[in-house]
Amino acid sequence: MSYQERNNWIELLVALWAIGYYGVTLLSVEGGLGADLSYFLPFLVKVIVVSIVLGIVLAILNRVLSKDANDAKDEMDKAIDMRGFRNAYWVMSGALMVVIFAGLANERMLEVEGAPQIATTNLLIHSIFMVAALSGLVQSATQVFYYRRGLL
Amino acid sequence: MAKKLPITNSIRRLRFDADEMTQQALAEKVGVTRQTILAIEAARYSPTLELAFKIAEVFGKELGEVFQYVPASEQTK
Repeated sequence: MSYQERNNWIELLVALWAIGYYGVTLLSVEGGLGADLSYFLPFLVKVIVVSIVLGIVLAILNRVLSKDANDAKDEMDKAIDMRGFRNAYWVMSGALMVVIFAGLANERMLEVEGAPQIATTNLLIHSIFMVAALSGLVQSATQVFYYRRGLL
Repeated sequence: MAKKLPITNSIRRLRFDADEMTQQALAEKVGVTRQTILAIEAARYSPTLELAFKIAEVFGKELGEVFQYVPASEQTK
């Protein structure tokens, strides 16, 4: 496994951790999506900061422990990067469209009696975080996939 | 059966003939990682034309002596 591939595994694991931790917390907190943002905004910042720090620490460890550590990417690394970015782009574009329509639909739902009442701000904040984390996850997963299978 | 590219190559044999040159040594000569050479040898990655020429140059061969095109219809034969 090359240095660049190990970096992709690190990014993948950090993205999985962020999505998993955030998702489990969201599901376990009373009120779920509708829970008070005064709790979730600091939590969101915490998850982002911890993800960045964790990613940096693991990347430094990878660099120190790797005999083949080299930041320069060769043509195969670049080709794999491009496929990762391409898939992440499609996921982000598609998911953002869904988020926009979900936000608009939620505004209508707020006017309907008996329907679940979730503030659109809550919905958008949670969705945008998930879209960003998910597209990062797809990018890393795509890159790991092509490193394993090759560019056929 | 694992899918392979229609371009095969003789790099493994050429390395052997070149005083058992290692993949790492070849990688360093052409400026890529050992994993890229490994993927090319296993027909899991098609190099750019520039890299293909560089590899051929290392062995002092013509491009066609290092890389061969095998259409998919002939691969199953």
